[in-house]
Amino acid sequence: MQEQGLVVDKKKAKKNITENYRSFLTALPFIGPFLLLIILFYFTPVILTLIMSLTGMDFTLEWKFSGLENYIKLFHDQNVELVIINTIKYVVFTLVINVGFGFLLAIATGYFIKDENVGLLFQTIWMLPRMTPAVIYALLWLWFLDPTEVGMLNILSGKLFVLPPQNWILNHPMGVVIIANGMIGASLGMVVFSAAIKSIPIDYFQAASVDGASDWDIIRHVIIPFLKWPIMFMTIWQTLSLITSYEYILLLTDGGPLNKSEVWSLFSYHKAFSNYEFGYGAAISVVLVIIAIIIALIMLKLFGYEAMMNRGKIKV
Amino acid sequence: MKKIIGIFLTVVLSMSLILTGCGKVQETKDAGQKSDSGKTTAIENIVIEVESYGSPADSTRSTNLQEAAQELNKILEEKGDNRRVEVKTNHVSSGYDEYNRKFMLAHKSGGGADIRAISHSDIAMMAQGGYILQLDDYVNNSEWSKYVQDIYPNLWDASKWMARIYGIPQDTEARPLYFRKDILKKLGWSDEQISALPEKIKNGEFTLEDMTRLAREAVKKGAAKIGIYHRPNNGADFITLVYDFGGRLFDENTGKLIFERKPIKDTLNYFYQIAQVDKVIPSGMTSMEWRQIHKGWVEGEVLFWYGGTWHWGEYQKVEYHSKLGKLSENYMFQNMGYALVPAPSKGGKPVTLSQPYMYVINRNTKYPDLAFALIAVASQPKYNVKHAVESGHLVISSAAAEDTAYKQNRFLHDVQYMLNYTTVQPNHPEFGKFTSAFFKAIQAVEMGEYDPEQAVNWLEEQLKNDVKDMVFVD
Amino acid sequence: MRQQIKVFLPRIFIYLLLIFVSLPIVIAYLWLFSSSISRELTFGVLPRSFTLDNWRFLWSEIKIGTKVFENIWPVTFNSILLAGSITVAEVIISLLAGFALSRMNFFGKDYIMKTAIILHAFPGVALLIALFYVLNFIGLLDKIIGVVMVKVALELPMATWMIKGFFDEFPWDIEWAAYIDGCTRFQAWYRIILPQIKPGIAAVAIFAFLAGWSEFIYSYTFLFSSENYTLAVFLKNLIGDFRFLDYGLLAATGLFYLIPVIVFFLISQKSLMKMTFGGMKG
Repeated sequence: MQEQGLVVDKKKAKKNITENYRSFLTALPFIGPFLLLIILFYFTPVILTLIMSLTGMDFTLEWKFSGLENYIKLFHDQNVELVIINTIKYVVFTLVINVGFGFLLAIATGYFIKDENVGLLFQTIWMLPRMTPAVIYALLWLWFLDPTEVGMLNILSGKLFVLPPQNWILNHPMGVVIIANGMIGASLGMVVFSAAIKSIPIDYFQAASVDGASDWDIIRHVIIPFLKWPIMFMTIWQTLSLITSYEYILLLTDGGPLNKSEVWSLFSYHKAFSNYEFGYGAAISVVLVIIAIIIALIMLKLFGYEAMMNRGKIKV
Repeated sequence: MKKIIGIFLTVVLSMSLILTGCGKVQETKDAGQKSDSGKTTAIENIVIEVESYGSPADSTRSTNLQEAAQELNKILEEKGDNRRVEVKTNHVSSGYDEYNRKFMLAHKSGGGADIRAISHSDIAMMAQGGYILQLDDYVNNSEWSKYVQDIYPNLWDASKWMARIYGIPQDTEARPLYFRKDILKKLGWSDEQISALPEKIKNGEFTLEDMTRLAREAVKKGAAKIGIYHRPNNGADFITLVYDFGGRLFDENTGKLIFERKPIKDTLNYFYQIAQVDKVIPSGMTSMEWRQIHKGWVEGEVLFWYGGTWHWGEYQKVEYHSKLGKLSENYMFQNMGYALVPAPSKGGKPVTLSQPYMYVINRNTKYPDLAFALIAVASQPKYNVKHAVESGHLVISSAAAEDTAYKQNRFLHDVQYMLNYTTVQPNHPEFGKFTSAFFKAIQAVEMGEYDPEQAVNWLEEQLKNDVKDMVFVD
Repeated sequence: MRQQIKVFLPRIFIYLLLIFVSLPIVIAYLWLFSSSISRELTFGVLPRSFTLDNWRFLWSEIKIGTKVFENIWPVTFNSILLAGSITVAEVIISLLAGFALSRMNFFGKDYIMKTAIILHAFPGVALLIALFYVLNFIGLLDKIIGVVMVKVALELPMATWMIKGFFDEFPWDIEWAAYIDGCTRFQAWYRIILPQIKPGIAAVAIFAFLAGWSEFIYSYTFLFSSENYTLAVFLKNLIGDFRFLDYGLLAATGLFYLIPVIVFFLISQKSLMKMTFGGMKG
């Protein structure tokens, strides 16, 4: 019914422009600040970035138009291939941890552990990395992986396997970055999935256990079907977050050694802020913006706009 | 259409109300400061912001100006100027790139520190970008000229871009090769042999190869844990070796950067040899931490260290040694020696590199005359010598070099000769791109990712893409 | 009996597995705590001797060489100001917008809702340079309020979306009754509905505060003067200078920064865990 109302409303809208503005004006006090911030800090920067990507802006911070030069340069940059591979590796493997491990944690804390407080305790522990400010989280990792004999991992590997101290970040930069990010993402998966598990009607579990189903059967035939949508949603959502975020990588490895953990967004940051190639950095960002929009549109298509917005009750 | 604009404007207006509401806290704070400083009727208090970069022992780069402000204020009082200078300092020790980047962004927003101490090699970039003031008039014909008259001409050269002066030399240094005497003794060297080493290097009798061989011997015999340390991040020290192998990086006549393949490949080959073949440096040298390197060096685990004269000061000021804490100069004389960077072949010329620091003045400053006056006053020997002696740098003028405190300083006296062998980095706005790519190439060969040939090819391609203005020579 | 083993064995296995994977986290934070109150550590985690020396930054200046660091208290105040303003602004603006999107019908609403979804997927950090120009243009560079606005804008689509869900749940009849009583839209929003959706407000506020308190990249890029430093920036500088010099000092400062987060988190833990898909950055 509301749907129809809206369609009618839309048709009217075309005919009667003044009415549109009147309706917009009544909503303006509520929606205004939101719109203003969005325009200022999303739309304007995107447009600026687009323009900037067509300039050779450098350390002088001057807008010197250079056409598509930056994009051509990007095409010839020998680092691009490595950066793309890194980005794919980073996104895919971190996703596996985020979603896969998050799912395991959710099952463990939300299904197997019946004592709610114990479940909550483990969930709290896993929330810690997410709650910790990035600077400190990175610091903890740097200590954990300290290349000398005082590093925690070196103490462990030394005591358990009698190995000499290793420089973990140097030898496995991608691994470190993926695990550090994965541990943060896993908690999000955990919270979302365990909430979804809790929302499964208890009858399903009871019916299953009366039938003598094992835990494995329950996971396979009850939980997973119910979690299909949350899992898909998380996967796409995290993909978006991962391709655009670089804060932890910046703090942990700074893309090094030798670009081995340089991902696309960090590549843009480095070009702009370390090399002062602002125009070039902007061009690299634009590519990212386009990819992000494509993924977002896919997400919208897949889940449906209606489902995502769970349309509210509108009466006018 | 008009209505849309009208709507937009109302939104903006209503939002700007919110904005001003939030901004108030800050504004009142600023206003408070101003009324505080301006309460005396006739005298105008002027705050000059100074920022400097360097090791934690180099903060005299800032504080010298703070002290000079008192002298300047007396001079101002005497000549009836009712302005008084107050200096606010900020000494930064981490992240030189960020130090510059923050200034550039702050400058574009109309702010930034009034006076900054930067490496001379960034003068070109800062000058071309319009960030700093051209100072020829102040230096040559102003009432403050007399304070800066006897600064060494070669330092003025380093302060120039397009034949114009943009900076006032603050200090200079040399980058010696340090060696541990205690380790050499363990290898059976006599005191005479040890004290003759710097001379042998100077005469080209002790070469880079000898150095590597010695380092290998020390590690093999267990006298040292590690043969050689060099800085862990991008910096001028690697350029020293390009010069050592006879390379040129800049053509004064054309004003262009040059890429000479042979010496650059030789340099890369050198780092490949010591990391991958002789294994006298850790292959992960380029991702080590400064503190770890300093600790290893002061605790006597390393035979050679590509350091700088300022480290001499730093080790006496910062507690790197886990047992001794700050080192006494006596301990250092007993255990550490210093020499030029050896020539690559017998009879060749050894080198070192200087990276003079410069005070530059922000183009945004409201008081360029006072900023310059402040720097000029602080250029006098008493300030300059204090900085030099405390932080292990070399002075900027002949008058300062004559200062007794400076002359009596054994270390500075010992290294003074190195200035005859010194080199400097080119002043070119894009040189930073070369050093950062070059550093990556060194990292690649040290880690064994590339052999020298691959690395030099990679570097060449990278630079062709990155640097607009470079001449490639085979 | 066999039946019981069949039930318990996987349970025990799960417990062991959970403990095993969670242990590194516990150790890491234990380590942070131990090294902040001790000079030396046994087995890498247990304090050997007690000292408050690492906490000296609270009452005296930190010095390295001849360089003196900023006093921690103004920096802490800045962080509180930053996180506090972000929380207040984000809550108010998202409550306003959420209400409009949930209960009102107006021209352009569909577009706004669609873009809100796309926006959250947007690489805010990738626009850093452009954001610099925007902030510079409106004169909010090197001002904490500038970082507040950027951060609020970035979190807003998610927060609005979240709060809209709460508005959607609110029964229309009650709101209708308010209008019959002669309330305006604004009054209904403020007097009738807001008190009813307190859990939603709390959730948005918690996320906003945590995000604001942890904010690093924008403060680091857009705040230049040391009097505007926040704890994150301060700590980044401290790490740069002290990482291999004074672990204890770093641990203590880090913990100091972390304490409000942990307290806040423990208080709000239950309501946080209940949030589905809610406003978390990934």
